[in-house]
Amino acid sequence: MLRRSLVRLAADPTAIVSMLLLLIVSGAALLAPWIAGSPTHVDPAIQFQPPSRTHPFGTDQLGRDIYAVVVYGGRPALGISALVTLLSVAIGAILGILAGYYSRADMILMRIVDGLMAFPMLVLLIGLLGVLGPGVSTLVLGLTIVLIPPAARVVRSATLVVKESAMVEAARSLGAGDFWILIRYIAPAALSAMTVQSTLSFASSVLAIAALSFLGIGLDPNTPSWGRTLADSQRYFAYAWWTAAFAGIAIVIAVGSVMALGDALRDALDVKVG
Amino acid sequence: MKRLLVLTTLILIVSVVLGACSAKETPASTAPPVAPTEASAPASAPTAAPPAAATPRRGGQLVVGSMTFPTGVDAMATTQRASWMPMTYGCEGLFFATIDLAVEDALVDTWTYDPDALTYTFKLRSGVNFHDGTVLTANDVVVSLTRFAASVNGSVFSKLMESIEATDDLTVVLKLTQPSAAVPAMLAAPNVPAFIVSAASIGETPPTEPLTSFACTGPYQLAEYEPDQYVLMQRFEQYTPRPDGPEWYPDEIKIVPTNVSNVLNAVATGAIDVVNEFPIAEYTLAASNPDVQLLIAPYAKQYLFVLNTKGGLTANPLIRQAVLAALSPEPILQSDVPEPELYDLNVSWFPPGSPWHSDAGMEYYNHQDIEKAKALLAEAGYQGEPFRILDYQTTNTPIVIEQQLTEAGFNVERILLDNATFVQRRTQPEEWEGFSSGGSSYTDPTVFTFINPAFPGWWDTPEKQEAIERLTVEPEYADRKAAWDDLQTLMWTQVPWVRHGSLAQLMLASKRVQDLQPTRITMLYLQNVWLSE
Repeated sequence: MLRRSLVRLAADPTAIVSMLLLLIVSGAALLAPWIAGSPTHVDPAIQFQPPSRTHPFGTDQLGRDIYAVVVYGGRPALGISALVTLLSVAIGAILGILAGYYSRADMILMRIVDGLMAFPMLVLLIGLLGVLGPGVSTLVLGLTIVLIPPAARVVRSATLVVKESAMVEAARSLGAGDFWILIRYIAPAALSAMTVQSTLSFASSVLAIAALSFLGIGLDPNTPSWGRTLADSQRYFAYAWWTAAFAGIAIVIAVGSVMALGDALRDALDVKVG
Repeated sequence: MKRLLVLTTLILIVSVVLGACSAKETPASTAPPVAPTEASAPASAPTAAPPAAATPRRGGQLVVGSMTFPTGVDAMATTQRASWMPMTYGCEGLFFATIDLAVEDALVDTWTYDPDALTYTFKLRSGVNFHDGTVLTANDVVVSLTRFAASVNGSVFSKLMESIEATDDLTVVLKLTQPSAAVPAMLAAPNVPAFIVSAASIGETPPTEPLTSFACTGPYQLAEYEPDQYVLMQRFEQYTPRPDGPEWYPDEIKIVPTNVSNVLNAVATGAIDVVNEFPIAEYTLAASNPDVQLLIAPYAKQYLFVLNTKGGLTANPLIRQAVLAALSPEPILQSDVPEPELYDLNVSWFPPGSPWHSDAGMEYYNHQDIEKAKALLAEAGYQGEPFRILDYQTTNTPIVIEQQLTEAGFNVERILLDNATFVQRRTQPEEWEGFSSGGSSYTDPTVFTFINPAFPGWWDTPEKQEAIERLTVEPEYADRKAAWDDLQTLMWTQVPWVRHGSLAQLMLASKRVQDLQPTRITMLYLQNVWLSE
């Protein structure tokens, strides 16, 4: 089944293009020290230079190379999002499986999940950051907390379906314990849903980090970030469009390609999500 | 999703094409032409607003936007000039600093100065009403000026004041510790917060405890103050104006917070009527906006980097010398100023045309030498301890300063703070080494905020005191000017701060504001200003 899914994925142009774009964006972020100059070096004498050969994305109000800022700005966005996705999907999966398999756990866990999902994501994040204080670790913690509920729900749905399947009933009748059933039957069946959900979580995380940086909270304002670049460019956009355009495009590409990949994965894995 | 990918790819292609096709020109060549500025104009001639065509109209609420919102209403209790605004419109002093930086009589009717007797005698105007219904008496002046002398803003005045007493209801006698012709300038509000507040308002409150309300003699009285929200001043119907004094047309003045991100839109839409100290970085946008009035006062503001002489690394003069050697002023000024016409590289705290204009210290100015800075750091025994810069994020200069100091070998820690925390933290000598600040224009060197030894930075040396003494005591202008030249030179040899240069001050007003004049000082002059609708 996995091989069939991979073949379907490889034949999907959307998947190919989105993976390529994602590779370019994340590759650029990883290789930043080698492909870009300093994102923090200021030179007001060359402020507001439009895109040119020397500065492909132009310079900002402090003469910083926007290309370097955008490339380095991908690091916190993508790095933190990858970590957050890993954590939130893993924890969400465990909670979702438990909730889907044990009805009593379902009652408690899903009410907590419902409560968390009642808040708009940014509002919840801002509240958490206000209580826990700014910084990368609290940002990771906050994003993980807000992204656990959707993952848990998706995995719970998959668990509910598999729990009633014939193979699980057969295993139970042969004396298989709960733990064995969860590991051997439930978890693999939920894998597809988790995979697709992880792309959605990743995209949400990238957007949330950009939004928080735009508002000036979360990341250290001295750290190059896409959101911060957009916030700084508000005043100058009318006559220096490049101060905002490239950071915005980077966000669109990163989020768009992940979402498109998620779509393609859903089709390839034939998963019902959400 | 497929459509989104196609769209994304299209955007990418279009932007690359746009970028490749962009002409290599800076915004300066495509921005609207700079309004004529007169960098060498006399102190009395900032660029004037266009004349109003209609008859002034009484009434309306004038909304003043403040980039730094008042943290209180008691001007004597703080060196933060934004917090002087409520008293600026609600109170008066014995003397008044005009928009041209001259000094005129305000609450005094007549006054005399006897240098031999070291005495000033002030005769007050009679029948001047306070907001609380009482009438101005000499006792109110005594109580107010005693409080002013005890405040951080009145420290220079306090050194001169031997005693002050009311000899009758309308006569105040000020005895000096030494001769000084500068007392009227030292008491000229709103350039200094020497406001006369009713004795009943003050009671026994020292200047270290801010008043939360006040009764003054000004054209407006404090109606409401909501921290971080607004200050509302309402017309005082029993106001007793000076003979031939200005008119006050609006019925209310409301001070509201604003910020760099939305100030232009707020004024263009009329949500805010006037903003003093409009961000100079917004000049290009404002100059091309047909819905606002942009007024320019050249050579109005000073940019400087204040150093802590009392605590931290910079208590060591060698470290301060290293800072001076590390910094280059032009990039620092450029970081905030989009047009070269709006800044000037100079050492003088007073504009050309002012009797206090001085090039003293020019030999120390604008001589960046990184190697010299490194050598001074080594000589000072610098071991890489954090050099803490307090940054309250209203200017880009700390970012450039951080880079220049880092290149010279400093281990810089730029600490980002909100304004209220910044104001509090800069009063702690062990918490910082430097912060960026802006100075205004002044009527006289003795009211120059930064030479106040209580101002954060706490510059106070015997040489400085000697120069200030001469500046304060000498009766002749030539001798006072020589003292000021010496003091200005000391600013470069002792390096209590590094002055980068001067900038124009921009004011922004909505279309309905009439007869607003550009000013060089922080306070907004609303005399004779009226609203057309």
